[in-house]
Amino acid sequence: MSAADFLSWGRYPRVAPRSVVAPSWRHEPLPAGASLLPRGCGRSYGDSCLNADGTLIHTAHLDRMVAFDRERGIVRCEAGMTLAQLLEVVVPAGWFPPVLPGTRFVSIGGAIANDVHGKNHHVAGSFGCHVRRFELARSDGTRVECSPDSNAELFAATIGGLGLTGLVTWAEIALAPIVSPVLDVETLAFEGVGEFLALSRDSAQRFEYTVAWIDATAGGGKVGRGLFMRANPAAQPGELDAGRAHPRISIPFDFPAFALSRPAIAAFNAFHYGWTRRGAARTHFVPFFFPLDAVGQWNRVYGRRGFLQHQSVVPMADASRTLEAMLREIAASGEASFLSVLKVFGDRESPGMLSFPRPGATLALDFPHRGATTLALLDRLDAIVTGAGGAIYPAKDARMSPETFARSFPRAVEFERHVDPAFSSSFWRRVRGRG
Amino acid sequence: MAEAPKVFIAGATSAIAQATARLYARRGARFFLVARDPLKLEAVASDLTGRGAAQVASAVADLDDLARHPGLVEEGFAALGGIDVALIAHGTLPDQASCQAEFASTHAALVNNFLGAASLAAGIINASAMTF
Repeated sequence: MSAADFLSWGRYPRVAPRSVVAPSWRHEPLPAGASLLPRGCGRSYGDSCLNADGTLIHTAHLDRMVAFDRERGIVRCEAGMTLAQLLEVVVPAGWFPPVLPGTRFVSIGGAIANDVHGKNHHVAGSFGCHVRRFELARSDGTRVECSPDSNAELFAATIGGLGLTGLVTWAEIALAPIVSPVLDVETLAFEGVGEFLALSRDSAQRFEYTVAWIDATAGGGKVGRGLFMRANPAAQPGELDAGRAHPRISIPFDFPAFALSRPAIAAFNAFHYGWTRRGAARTHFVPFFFPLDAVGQWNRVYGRRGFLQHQSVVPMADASRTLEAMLREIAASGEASFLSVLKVFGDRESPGMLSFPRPGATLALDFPHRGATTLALLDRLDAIVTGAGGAIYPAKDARMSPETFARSFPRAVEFERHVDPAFSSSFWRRVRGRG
Repeated sequence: MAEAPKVFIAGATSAIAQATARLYARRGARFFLVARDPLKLEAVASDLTGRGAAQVASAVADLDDLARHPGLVEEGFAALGGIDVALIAHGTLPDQASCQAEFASTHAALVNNFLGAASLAAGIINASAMTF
């Protein structure tokens, strides 16, 4: 097994586990050993799914259904099942996961461990809000069933808990009814952060899904220009299919560095802003929720050095000023973000001690990793975010400091009491200052 | 082929059997599953039910015990009301060196991978013939 087989999505840092174990049955005991980390699809961008010199418990074979109540829309499945696989089973039966992140190629366990969120957070909250119970396998050989009413602290520690409390073997999710696989989408342009926030406010009641793409390469008078998308499921019933199972095309090699220069990225952003059609359209849910899933291994576009994602949330109170400060910092830096996404979170509380989603505005950026300059920019962005009382998202992170982590997650000390003594990750060792 | 086929699987906990069974489950198939390990069998049965199987019946048995085969075939026919598809998926990868060194290993491999398959196949075919 080579290091490249079990990297993270950003392909940075390039570290390898010492061993990988892939159990075939959920009742098997956990491997022995002192540094274990569950591994689903490896779609976390940074090092939260890495365990340098440790053991990864690869859950790909733990993909079975356990029970599916088709009347009430409650599904229990093994934690290695992906959202893509789940959609294939539940959509034809008229059910839909209430929260979906930007890719369907993530495991249920990963969705829980990162308490993922989607374009409808302002309506449905985070993924963890819809998890009814799960079974956690601990290194002492015990299996604990956790729910908000039973082992509630362990439940709250595990949601957003980055796989550090043990291995989730199965989870039970409450689904939402679906009558049509298509959505009605409106796309509007906006010229600045203020306009984006106003659009979010106006759209929140009438639209179930909202998200914006923002041009983070635009400087000067164009800072904060972007496209706002808002959508609702189509009302008329339609044939319920889960879409194509696999990407049509795939990136077979790492793109060369010149493809990722600032002028190239800026040109791409300008093209996107100029050419994307405004107005109304109807689309199947797959390209709406998972636009990048269409291209397999799109992360290879970032070349061998990989890329760094930065996702933050800042409180609404000063959101306009904070976001503008971040965008100006980026525009001045010479680093360019390809895909910058902006969304306003709603008030629905996330259930996890380390849950990232909270009321405020979230900005997700990605930067080709050019070395010290990129890292320095992200440190400056962290300072702006934490200065405003915000937080950085661990699922995307490869480099935040222990101080930034502590400021982002006031419940980190409480959480640490529930970390399984035999479980660890590169991320956890880094943010707790253990190297 | 019936729209909801009746499927008999020997060695239902093998990886190939699980993957194949899932394809049938999507079509609402009915299953009779045989395997040695009750915990694994239960996991497979629940998986197929969750994925749309109309019925899943099962029996725990070591398929090296050829004497049990007629009873298992009869049980399968009774549970499903017939058999449309039989998947014989149990088996082992014998160790070549030990098979060469001692006939007992070879014998065990032949029972497991050939005689068992032949016995089940013959039993199912004969039982099917009787229903025509």
